[in-house]
Amino acid sequence: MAAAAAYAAERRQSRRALRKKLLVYAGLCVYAVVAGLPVYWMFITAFKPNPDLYNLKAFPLFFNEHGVTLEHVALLFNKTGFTTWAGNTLIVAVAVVLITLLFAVPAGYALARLRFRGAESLTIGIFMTYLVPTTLLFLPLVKIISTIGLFDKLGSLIVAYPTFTIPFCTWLMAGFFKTVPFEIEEAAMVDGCSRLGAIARVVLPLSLTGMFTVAIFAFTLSMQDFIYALTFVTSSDQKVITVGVVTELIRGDVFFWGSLMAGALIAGVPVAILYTFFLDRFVAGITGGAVK
Amino acid sequence: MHTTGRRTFLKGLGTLAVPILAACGGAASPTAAPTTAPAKPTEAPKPAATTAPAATSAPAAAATTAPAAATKPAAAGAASPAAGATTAPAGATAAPAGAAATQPAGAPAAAGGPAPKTKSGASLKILLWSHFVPAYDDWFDKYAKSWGDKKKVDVKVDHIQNATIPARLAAESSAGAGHDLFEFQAVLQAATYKDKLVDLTDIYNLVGPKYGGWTAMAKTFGLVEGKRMAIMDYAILQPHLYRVDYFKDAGYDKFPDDYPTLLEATTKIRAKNKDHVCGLPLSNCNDGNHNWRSVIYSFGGAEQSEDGTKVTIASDETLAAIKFGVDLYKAGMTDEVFSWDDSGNNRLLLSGRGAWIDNATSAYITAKDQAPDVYKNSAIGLQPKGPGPKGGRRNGVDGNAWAIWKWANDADTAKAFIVDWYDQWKDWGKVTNGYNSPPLLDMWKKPMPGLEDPNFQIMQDWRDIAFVAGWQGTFNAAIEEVNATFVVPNMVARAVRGESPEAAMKWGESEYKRIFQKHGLPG
Repeated sequence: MAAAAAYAAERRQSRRALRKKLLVYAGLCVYAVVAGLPVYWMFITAFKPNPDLYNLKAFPLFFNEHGVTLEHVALLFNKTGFTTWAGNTLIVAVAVVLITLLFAVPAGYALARLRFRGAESLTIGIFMTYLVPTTLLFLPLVKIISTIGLFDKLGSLIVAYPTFTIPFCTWLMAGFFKTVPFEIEEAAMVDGCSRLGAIARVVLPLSLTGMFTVAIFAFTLSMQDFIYALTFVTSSDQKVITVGVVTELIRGDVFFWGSLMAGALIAGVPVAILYTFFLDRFVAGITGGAVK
Repeated sequence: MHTTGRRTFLKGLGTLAVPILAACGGAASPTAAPTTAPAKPTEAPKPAATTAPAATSAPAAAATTAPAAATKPAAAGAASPAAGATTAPAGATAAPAGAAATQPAGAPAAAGGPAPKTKSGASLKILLWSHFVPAYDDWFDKYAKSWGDKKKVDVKVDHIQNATIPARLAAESSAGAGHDLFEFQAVLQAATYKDKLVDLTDIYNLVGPKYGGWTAMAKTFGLVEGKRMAIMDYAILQPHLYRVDYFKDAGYDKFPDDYPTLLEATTKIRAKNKDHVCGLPLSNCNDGNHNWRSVIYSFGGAEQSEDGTKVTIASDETLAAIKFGVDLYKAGMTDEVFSWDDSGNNRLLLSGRGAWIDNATSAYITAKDQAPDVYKNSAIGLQPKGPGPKGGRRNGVDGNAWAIWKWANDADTAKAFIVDWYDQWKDWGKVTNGYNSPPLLDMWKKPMPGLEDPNFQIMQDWRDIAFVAGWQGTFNAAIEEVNATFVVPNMVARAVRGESPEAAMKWGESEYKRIFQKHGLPG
């Protein structure tokens, strides 16, 4: 009798657990569809022939009557400077990541560890600068860029992007450094390390997750900016992807949808892969930094 | 140890904060002024006729008296080239005989002073929009290179999307650097940047007489305080692109000749198939600007007085046009028109749902490759006439214009390039299929280059029904702002969304007056 009751209770519990799991996965499925649908649609559009793209009777999420085509991708690679823009984008993104790390890590450490007057306010202040929209900043910035002789050069973007990556990343790193127990650092110093030595040997290795987060964040922001890329650079050989595809594939009121989607897809894939590989670290970095 | 580290980091932090704060603080820099506060004009713009040579008949008159034959496209909905050709508007025949159409490219200037000279070894950076016809960009790039090689000038051409040109110009204006010669695309900002642009009056006076004078719309374009701060390179006409088969099914063998008939036809087409709709954008896009100007102008409504000092948008004619807009929306549009950008009406036509749109020929030409069935069943229709005593046939068009920054490497070299570019009009007319509509009278002599295709020949009759923004005055600084803030489509949209047409018009008038007064005009 008791065994039967225990068995029934166990079954009820397992059913409850199953129901809970089903609900969670149903919710996740809905979210995955909502998040993934645009990318899937982009993929289909990139390989769908024009007659099907403009045929309203053709279901947009499947390939239709005319099958699959590579003409949009061919146009992208053969008739535009896409490879040059992709190369430029990569150069800018990598340079911005390095510059951001160079500034944000020490600045974040200082704000987290060196308890000087106004440190908290300064942390908030630095974060606030991130909130100033680029549409307000591009005009004064262009003057600075022009003064230092970088107007219409790829270098202008490498100089400009850190103005919005460093503030946020500094704030992020400051939050992250606070999660590293000071006792560990102190122990290193008791063992003979200087502060810099303790940072290099103890703090930075423990903060790799945060640094990955900062790197991914800076890389993504650099890749997706439009307004600075548009206003600082015009020469075809200096353009980055965001401006290049729009420039060459939107002509007046005619949009080359297939090639535009192909360009966006190809540009988006590396970032998606980056996120997939480092997702756990990214989440840990964001949450670790955010709760402190 | 601790103290030293803290100082070091504080120093580092200070170094970091300075550029960030400097950059952020710069947001309030007065350099933003050119984009947000157009240059303080202005004396009343002078009527074009007093400052420009060789005028044709007044635009209004020409529009209202457009020849009957030109208004009747041939059977089966195809535009009638022959009819248009034999009954050219007065202005077209008024062009001096034997003028530029027969002149060889590069012919010496006929009048207007000495031609500008190129400086050997100079550089010339040109900014253009990414033209709808890619072949034009190819042609232009090759031409610019060969011109540069010939003149020993280092020429570099950049193309960007048209919608992004104002932001780019704002940046260049702020930096005082960038390109030397550029093209305003539809959004004319000659008055906004008047203090930073080179006066092109000499070029205007040089090129005009060479080709029989400037067209009426070109005369008012880029004229700021009596100076030519920009000169029209070409206009982009906005015919009606329509489905011959849908109209035929509804009992119309050709595109309706006037707006009331067009409304009636639209109603019948939709009654036959509720998916077959028309579309004029009721949103903040350039197509919305000129589409609704075509309706208002054709009904007889005008934006301002001829001298450009008084707002005249509130009138019985504008009210009738707004009421027509409401009726047309109810009869033939869906709410997608509220969210359209400039590609919205193109997509409507290409999808096969569109019964008609008012757009440049781009939508029609694109259909050839992207939607062959649509192309096969479509044609180009003439601008319909508006009703009433002041009604006429008036098409709102886009204008593009050359301008040179004051900090150009060598302004004379840039001017010389412009002059020589006009001499290539046959080439650029041909390569664009007439999409680049010329701004000079003699270039309108039939047959016009690029318009040999029977479907396009109707465009040869467009010159005297083409109007840039600002009718009946000039495209002045205030109109530039009216255009840039999309007052016209928003005025109609308010009525369509449920406000009374009278209230919508009143709102429109108040916006016009506010903008005019901001620019120092009585309003």
